[in-house]
Amino acid sequence: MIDKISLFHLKDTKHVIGAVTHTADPDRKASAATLAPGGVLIRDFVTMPGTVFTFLVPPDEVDVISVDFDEELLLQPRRFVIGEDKKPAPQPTSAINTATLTATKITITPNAGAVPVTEDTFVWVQVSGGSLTTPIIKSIKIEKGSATAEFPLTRLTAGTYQMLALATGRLPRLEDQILT
Amino acid sequence: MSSRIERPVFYEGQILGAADLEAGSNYGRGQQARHNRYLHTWGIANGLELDPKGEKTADGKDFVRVTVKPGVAIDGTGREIVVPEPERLSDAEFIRLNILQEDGAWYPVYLIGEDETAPQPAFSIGACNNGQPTRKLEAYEITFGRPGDEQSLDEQREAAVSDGPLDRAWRVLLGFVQWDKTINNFIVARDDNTKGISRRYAGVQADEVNARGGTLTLRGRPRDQAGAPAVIIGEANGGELRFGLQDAKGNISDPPLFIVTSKGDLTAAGKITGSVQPGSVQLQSGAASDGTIIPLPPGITEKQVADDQVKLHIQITARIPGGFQPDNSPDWVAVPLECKLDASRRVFCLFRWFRLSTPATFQDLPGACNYTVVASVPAATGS
Repeated sequence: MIDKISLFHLKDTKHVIGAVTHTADPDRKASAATLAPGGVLIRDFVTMPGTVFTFLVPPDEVDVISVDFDEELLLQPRRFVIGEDKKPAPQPTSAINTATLTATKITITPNAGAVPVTEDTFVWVQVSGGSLTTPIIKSIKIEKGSATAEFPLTRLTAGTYQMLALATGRLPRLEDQILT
Repeated sequence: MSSRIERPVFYEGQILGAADLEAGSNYGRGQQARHNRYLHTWGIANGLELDPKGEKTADGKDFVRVTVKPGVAIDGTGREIVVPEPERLSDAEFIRLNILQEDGAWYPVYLIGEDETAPQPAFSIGACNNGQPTRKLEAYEITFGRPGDEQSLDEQREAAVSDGPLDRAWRVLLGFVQWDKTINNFIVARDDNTKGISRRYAGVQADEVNARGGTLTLRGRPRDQAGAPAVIIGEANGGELRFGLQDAKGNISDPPLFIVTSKGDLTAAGKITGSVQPGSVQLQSGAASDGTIIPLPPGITEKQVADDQVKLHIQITARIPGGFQPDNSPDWVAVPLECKLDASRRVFCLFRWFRLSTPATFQDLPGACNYTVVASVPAATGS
């Protein structure tokens, strides 16, 4: 009988991105480097039907937490975040307002109208596709009272890029961006 | 500087001088000190606990009156230090040492052995002649150190091989106190400084320990303290090694937590982890969501797999997601679309969800799979 489940979540934003159970040693305290040595793959088929978004989150961006087993955590882990009490909670319903990729910059604005965030907000972004041989991963903290996170980039060449943006307390946001 | 050991001998009719008697006394002291120094490790042999008693100052503030209980210690020069009566820690001595640091600091409490000249009884023989003392007191001092200098306890002045016990040469750690400078009093006393350094007990230095009754026992605490771990090497059942927690009579719980018999059979109440034995098979099972990596059985490492020291046999099946449909509509049906692993054991598990009601539609969503991993370690290549 399974009574524990290991959840993989982003260290910064606490979004859950995968789940495993391991009956032989259910209470094992293991790092992501041990349990997911190649990282955790995120695939999405829904946002833009016909297009598969694929992001590989490396193990050093991931933490593992062991919690009581719940079938929904296993089947739909990405619907959860890890709360301050270190327990899984349903994802918030608010979305990231804008996530923009240009050849030289990524800009993330959590709130509509660029309203400042009311508490420190971690932002984690991964960009892949185009001419990139390895994905770009950036993270930053938007201080309470600020409105936007900006990540300067070494100029990207023209192409089609996929961007996954995660921010504390927001739904993940996927973007398919064509740079000319 | 070491020198050869001199043992006094006597003959009939010899006129004994003070030096002869002194040599006899020193010979025994030196022999005992060398035994203590080289066959034991220094520390507390018995008692000497710090005993705090809560009290209040005149204006109602809490402090503790700390007493060192009677006991015996052996210092690093082999000197025996006896505290025969309870001894109160001195506030005045603490203030005199001028070692005060920030609030919350833990000050080590030391016991130092020293010789003192005993006061001569008024009517003793010789008291009116040259006034030479005829006794030494094997005395001690209880004092304090600066926070942190307890880390250098093993760097004290060592005695030369042939030396007897040295005078005022060694600090024996009894515990730690905290001081409140606003009331000039101790406020806490404890065995350790919360950083892993604790009062030190005397030990044994031996390369071989022989039992005479057929049973050798090592205990984590005295035998009457229930719950302490203990190991017994005994002759029972033809010879065995047992580990377990002792009861109030010092007996190891039955059955023990761990036992090795004279035939080499090993029985453990808990899990055994560690390197995997050649010729063995290890198992892991469970469930994994899309994008994760199937965990290895306990004791099997990625390096063993990469080095081909272990063969993996993995079986996966799609885990039907049941009622966890894409939305609240009840008439979704899931069909496995993809359920596979890549070379790195990454799970690719996808379900196609059909909505049967109008408007009929479908969605492809990640799912999870059940897995079983069998890791076989070839007999010739196990670690």
